[in-house]
Amino acid sequence: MDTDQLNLKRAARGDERAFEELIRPYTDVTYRLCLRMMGNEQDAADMAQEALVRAWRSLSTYKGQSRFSTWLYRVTSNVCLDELRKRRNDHSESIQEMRKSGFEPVDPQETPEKALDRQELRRTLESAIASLGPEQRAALVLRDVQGLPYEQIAEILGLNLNTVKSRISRSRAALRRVLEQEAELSAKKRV
Amino acid sequence: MKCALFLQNLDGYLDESLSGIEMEAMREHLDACAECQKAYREQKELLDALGHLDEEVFAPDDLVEGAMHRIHKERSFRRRGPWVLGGIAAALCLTLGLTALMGGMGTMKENWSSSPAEAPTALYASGAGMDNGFSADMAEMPEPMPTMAAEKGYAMQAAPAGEERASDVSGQSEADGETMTQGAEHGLKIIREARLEMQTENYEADREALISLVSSLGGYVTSSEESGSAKLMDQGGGNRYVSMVLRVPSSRLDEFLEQARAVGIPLVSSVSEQDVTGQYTDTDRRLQAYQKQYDRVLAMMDKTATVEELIQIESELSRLELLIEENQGMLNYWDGRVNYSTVYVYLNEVRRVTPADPTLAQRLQNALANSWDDFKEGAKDLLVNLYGSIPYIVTWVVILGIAALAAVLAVRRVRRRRQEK
Repeated sequence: MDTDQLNLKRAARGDERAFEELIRPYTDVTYRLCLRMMGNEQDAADMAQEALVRAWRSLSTYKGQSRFSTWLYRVTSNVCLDELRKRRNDHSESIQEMRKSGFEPVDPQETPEKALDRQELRRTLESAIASLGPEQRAALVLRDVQGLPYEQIAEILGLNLNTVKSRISRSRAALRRVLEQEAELSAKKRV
Repeated sequence: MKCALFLQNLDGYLDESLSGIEMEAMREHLDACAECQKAYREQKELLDALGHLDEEVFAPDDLVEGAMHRIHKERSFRRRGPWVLGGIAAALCLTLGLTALMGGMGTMKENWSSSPAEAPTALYASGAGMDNGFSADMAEMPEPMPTMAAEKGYAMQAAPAGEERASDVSGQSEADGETMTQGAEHGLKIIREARLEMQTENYEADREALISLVSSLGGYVTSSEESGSAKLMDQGGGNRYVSMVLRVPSSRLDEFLEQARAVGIPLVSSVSEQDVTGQYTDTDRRLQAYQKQYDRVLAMMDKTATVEELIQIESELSRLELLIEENQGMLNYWDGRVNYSTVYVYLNEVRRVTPADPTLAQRLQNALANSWDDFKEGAKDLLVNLYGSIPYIVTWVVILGIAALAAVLAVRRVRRRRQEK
């Protein structure tokens, strides 16, 4: 029995220390997923903590039907999606809405010609990801940022394989459109 | 193949999830079509950039601690919850029941407003129960963790062959073949870190003892974070803990650990070692090479004739200065780490300490002792809640008494009239 399995058993019996050991290797990926889903560090830290606590609470529902990492991803993405849906219902401003009203999350600095430096590319990508809808964002982040296989993403999001593939493909197209718009915008500003 | 089909399958092509024949057809089209080559390149660039987006993103240090803290609190509340909730329920039932009784009798209806006000008070009391329950089952902490060295994945870094790397970087052939002598010259550079988790029943005294122990050995406290509250001590359980980061002269680390372990009851105590001799030697050689180069360039300065040459030399000198500083900084950093060991100390206040490796009998004893404590705390909470309800109870008893008296008098008067008739 590997350590994960052993810790899982112990954690399910209420051993907090075992649970801590179990989740520690996954904290970075959990946080990264939250960061990309929520778009800022504060929310990401809150959601990642929430995800870990919820994982503890629902450990009894995990029956080893999938890999532990898959299950934890699933809990995490649900936590983020729930929060994002709640916020959408609260009519709080999403970046998308803010963008419509003229807000520009990325400050397109005056850069010579095509020399987008890494930092800027990163920021552009981040804001482009944030502009996707939550469900699209989840699929794209899991696939292209975290590099998970389609099958695992399907399990995490509870969708069938084809839906996942088409959703990711649509997300990429949407992302490219946003990036193109951004490029046009900064080109115009420069003129 | 048409361009539209190519673009449709582009993702599959990049993922290499298409069938062999499809992959082949895609490749052929890609070779032939400049338009699609552009689309392919752009998509690939995008995916590459996305794939590297989170390389340097790491979870905040306190993520796990924060989550575990919440989990621990929740559990403590759940165990004592039934008692606390029982207390609230009892108080509520009493008030509501009496209110309903009164309301039914048609007197003092305005008193209904007092029952919702009961809820926040009772809940507040339960909140306190939850807080002081925090450390209650720290005492039944399970087996100690495996050593940190394994957990943190500290690879014991074997000294790499210094020759190749040093000569690669510095390009100085005279530096070759000196690694062994240099390694010996510096001695072994080993970074030692320790981690100590302890329980204590005398929180304040033990914390002070640790701090004075550190300074007596020539070390210091770099950070110290305390949580929990002493106020709850009188309610049966301390829940304070402090996590400290200490720097102790490495030569006295063992001495420190030995004495520190005697302060509280150690649960986990581990030392990890990282050998940086190889990297250290490399860096030192690089530093010396840069310094030699610097001296040589400096000497050339006297022989320069033209301004261009002078400018060139100046810029070379400042480049070398930067490199020298960088490498010197690295050596200083390692020296600091090697000379002073970092010790992470975690001291937890408990009502009753548990031995690090409890036997079954001890565990049984602890389990019983802990649940008895929980029971006592719960009973106390119940008592507190009932006590808190006294004003309501007294009020209703008085009102009921008056009402009963009035009823008795009324009945008597009716009987008397009947008798008179």
